[in-house]
Amino acid sequence: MKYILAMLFPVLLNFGFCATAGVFLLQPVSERQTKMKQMLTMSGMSNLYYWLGLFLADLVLLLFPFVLFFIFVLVT
Amino acid sequence: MLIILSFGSALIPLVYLASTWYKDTVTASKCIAPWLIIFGNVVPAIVFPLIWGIALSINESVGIMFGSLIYILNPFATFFVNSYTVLIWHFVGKSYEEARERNEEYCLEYPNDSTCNDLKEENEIDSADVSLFSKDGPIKITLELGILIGFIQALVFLGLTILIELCRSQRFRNKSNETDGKI
Repeated sequence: MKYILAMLFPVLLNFGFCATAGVFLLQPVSERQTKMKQMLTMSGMSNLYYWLGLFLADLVLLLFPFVLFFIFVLVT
Repeated sequence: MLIILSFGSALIPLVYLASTWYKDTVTASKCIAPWLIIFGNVVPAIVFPLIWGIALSINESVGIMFGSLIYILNPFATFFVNSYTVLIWHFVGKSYEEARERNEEYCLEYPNDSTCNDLKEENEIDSADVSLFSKDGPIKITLELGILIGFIQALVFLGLTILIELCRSQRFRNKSNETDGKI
């Protein structure tokens, strides 16, 4: 049972991430669509800092489900 | 905390890389989930065992090399192995460690017992780790290695995204230079 759970849970985590991936996708696509990114670039924003900032913000967002995952692991 | 932060960190830049293919949010939000499920999970889950089996039947080292490459290149595979490692060590590793401690105590008490040697052998087999690239190679697949590979993947995907964006803007600049004053 433990082996099955250990095998099944990562698969569910993978599928769960795929289902919520749209959250991370919406911002860069909408900023490109509305020319917001172009405006920021024209204002002197670096491409590297833009993606790095976006990545860090999304990493914090991703933190919540993984904290819940680790709590689940510790509790069971 | 670092483990939690680096857990699945490569998956976000992978989504950013995918975002460069889409032009509007509606199509992007509709397509990304099926795309990631099919090409990130389902196709590797079907194709990988088939190719791995063929590679193993040709030569064991080829199979191990192929498995290692998939583990390094596919962020979903790395993420899967990382979470599996955490869970398996939590569920099975704890009881295994307890059993090994009990066996060691038993063997100290009764060193001439024949079952004691059997237990030792069992423990040795159980404690063997999976190696990367070769059967008994020096690099073992551990959680630390998985996290390191995840970080490298994140950097590579982020770099690729920035490179694609730069190429696009450069192409736009070139085109605008070509048409400059001609319209």
